[in-house]
Amino acid sequence: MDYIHSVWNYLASICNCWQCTEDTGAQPNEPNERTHLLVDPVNHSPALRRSNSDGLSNDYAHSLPKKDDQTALSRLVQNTAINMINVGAMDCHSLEHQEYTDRIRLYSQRLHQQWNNVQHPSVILKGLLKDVPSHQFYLAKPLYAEDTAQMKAFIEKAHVSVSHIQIDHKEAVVVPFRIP
Amino acid sequence: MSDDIKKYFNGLLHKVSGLHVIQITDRDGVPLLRVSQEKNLDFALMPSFIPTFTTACDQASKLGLGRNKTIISMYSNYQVVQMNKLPLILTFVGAENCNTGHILALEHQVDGYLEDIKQAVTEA
Amino acid sequence: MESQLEKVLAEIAARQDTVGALLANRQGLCLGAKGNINPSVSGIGMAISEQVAKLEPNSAVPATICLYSGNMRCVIQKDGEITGVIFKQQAAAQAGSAAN
Repeated sequence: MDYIHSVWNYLASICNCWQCTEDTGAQPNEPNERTHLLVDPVNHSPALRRSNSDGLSNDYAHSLPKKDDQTALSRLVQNTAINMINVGAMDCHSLEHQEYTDRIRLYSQRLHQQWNNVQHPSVILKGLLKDVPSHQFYLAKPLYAEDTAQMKAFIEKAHVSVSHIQIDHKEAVVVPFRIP
Repeated sequence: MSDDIKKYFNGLLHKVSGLHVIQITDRDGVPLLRVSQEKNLDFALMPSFIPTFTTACDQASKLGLGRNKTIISMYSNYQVVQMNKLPLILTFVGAENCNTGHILALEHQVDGYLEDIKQAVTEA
Repeated sequence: MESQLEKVLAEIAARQDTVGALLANRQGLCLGAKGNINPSVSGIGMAISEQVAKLEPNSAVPATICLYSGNMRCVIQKDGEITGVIFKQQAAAQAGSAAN
């Protein structure tokens, strides 16, 4: 009995190998007769059903990534379409006049409703010209000579350096797209 | 309450010298709020202008530099600063010599108010 | 390309008590920033300097603006097309006497 088992196992492993080599040869994203609609070991051939757990997990490992491949590929195509800068899509749709006015009415209605319900935090007026305690403190601020000197130097040097700003390109400024 | 919000945006409008219009729309260009200087400018173009920004924004997000947040368009007489605050679009129209940096700095000031207005669009 | 500008910013930002420095162009957009300073300050900095410039419209010399808050101060100047903003902190000796 053990002998028969080992023969079965041997056959099963050969089958597995044969299947996997065939799989790599076939188009990975094209469904063929070996593509499992349901990943279910019960539906496999008796040889595979009899195979040991190792063989089964092997089978799983092959059928699962294939599905991932397909979704990954379609995701790739989708992402490329999304990421393509499409100037043709720039001619934008404009709203029907009726919908436009309808929406204006809807929004103003909602805003009115909302602002009547929600008490907005009152706006605190901030200003320099108001009563402050200890105004002497604010009035007695010294003007530092070093501040004005520093600013003068800064502006002078800035004028010179701004006039020196220029583009020194290191590569071709215009890159040709390889459109056949 | 809506007067309060309008007053706030009017205040913003007057804070930046040379700023003509602040407009909040949905992504199809349907206006939710709009404040403008007294000398009203003719923006007959506006309804189609916003959806164009939306698509330009979508396409510009694909340049591999991350999501596009702001587009500044300079014209001979005007400048238009548009901010992507989906589902809202925030549009500023100012004079050509208007302080662009100041307009950009308004962005985080209005964020709190935009959250409220956003609800009116997303409620649907 | 803008290495010279970077060098100037680094030099100014490395000075004593300086927290950060930035430079804005004529549109209030940040050309460069160094140190602990938010680049989005450029627009507001330029707006402040423009308002101050209206006080003396005939002045040939650009005004320098100093804003004080707590133990920090902000120095702004707009000369022609460019605006410089420098954030400074109180020197260690003075900081003790300053109250918020």
